[in-house]
Amino acid sequence: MLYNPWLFLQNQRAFMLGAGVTLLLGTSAVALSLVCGLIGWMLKSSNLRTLRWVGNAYVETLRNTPTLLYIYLIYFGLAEIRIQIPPFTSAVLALGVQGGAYTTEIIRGAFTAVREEQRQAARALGFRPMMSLLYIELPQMLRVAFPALGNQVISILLGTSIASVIAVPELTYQSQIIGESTYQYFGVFGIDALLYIVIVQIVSAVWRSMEHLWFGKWGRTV
Amino acid sequence: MSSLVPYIGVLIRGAFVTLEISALSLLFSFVIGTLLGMAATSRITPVRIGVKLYVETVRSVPLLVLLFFAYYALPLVLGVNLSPYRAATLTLTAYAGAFMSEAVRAGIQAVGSDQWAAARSLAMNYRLTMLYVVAPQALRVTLPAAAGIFIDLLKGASLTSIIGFVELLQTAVNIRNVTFSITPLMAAGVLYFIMCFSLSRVGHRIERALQYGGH
Repeated sequence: MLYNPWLFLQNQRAFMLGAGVTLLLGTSAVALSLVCGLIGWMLKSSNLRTLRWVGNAYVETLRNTPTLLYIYLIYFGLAEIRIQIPPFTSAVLALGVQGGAYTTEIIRGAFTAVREEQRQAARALGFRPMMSLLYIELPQMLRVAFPALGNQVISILLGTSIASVIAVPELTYQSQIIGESTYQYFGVFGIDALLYIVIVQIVSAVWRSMEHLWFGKWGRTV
Repeated sequence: MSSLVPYIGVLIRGAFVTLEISALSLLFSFVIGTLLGMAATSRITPVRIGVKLYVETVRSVPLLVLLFFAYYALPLVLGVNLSPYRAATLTLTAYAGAFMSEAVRAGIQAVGSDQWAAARSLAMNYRLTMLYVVAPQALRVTLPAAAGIFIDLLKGASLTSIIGFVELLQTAVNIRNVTFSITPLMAAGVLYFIMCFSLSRVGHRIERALQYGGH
């Protein structure tokens, strides 16, 4: 039989567990990618040429190599020097550090979008650079970067499926397991895909309404 | 490092396999993307909705799940076995096709409606306008995006190793499994970097070459 209509109900627990792990993995990786993005941006916009070079190298290297490579490198590579990292942590590291490279560029773009006058005005009002960054620039940068960050969150969420190769029990891994035991591959991966679509649509709807709620009143001005 | 020397040739062959499957998928996806991109600007609403549905679906599902679907589920539906190579090409084409159709749609829409009006007043029909007026200008937006899609394909092709297709990354993993060292993985990373980075440079160059006017 091609499709057993009860497939989802029979394996509901596994699917839901998988979706939960996917969300947890995605959230952790997004959090790490924001931290890495901020660090990467600070490196790239540093006054020291060496630090700028490190920032550029970070962004260009990570953006031009596949995620799966990093999962293998962290998982196999660290095992080689006798460091054991659990699969979940390896996946968070790989996705977060790589996502950070993209986030670096998003933050950099947002910073250039905030006008120079804003910085000068902050300086004139006696804000120290760090204070002005925190209270004047970052809030405006967040607004500019918000849509791009949303896309980044979604691409990290979709990327979590790659963690299934190192047996992180997320959605795709659970689907593979169910598929192997029921041989209902059509139904299993159909449900799997559907769940991803639901997650992605919910996340992007929430993101859009958050944007509207927080930044809607400012319209399109920067 | 010295353990890598006998395997360099194999790794480079792996890189060419990755390049081949990505280029093939890019070529196919360009055809699909052009058709779908034109359909996305169609005046018939159901056609537009259909394309939108396809694009949104592909963009909301991980490439890996699409690969699994093509490799494990499609044979059950179609009743024919797909080799990893065919399943991979099919999936990468469908995947890139969605992004390509967006790039083509953006390109077509970047051409102002006054151009259509001007062509209309010169008694040019849809086919002629598209071919001689809109397409050359749309390429300005579409081609740089296509370079980006090619990069995504090169990186995405690494996932085809999971359904058993031996490309660059799998070659590196295979070498690791005999040498017990991660140097081959690093070497694969370098090869990926060389391919993707030079492609992104080419993309920038195309973008700059195609710019004109006061935009």
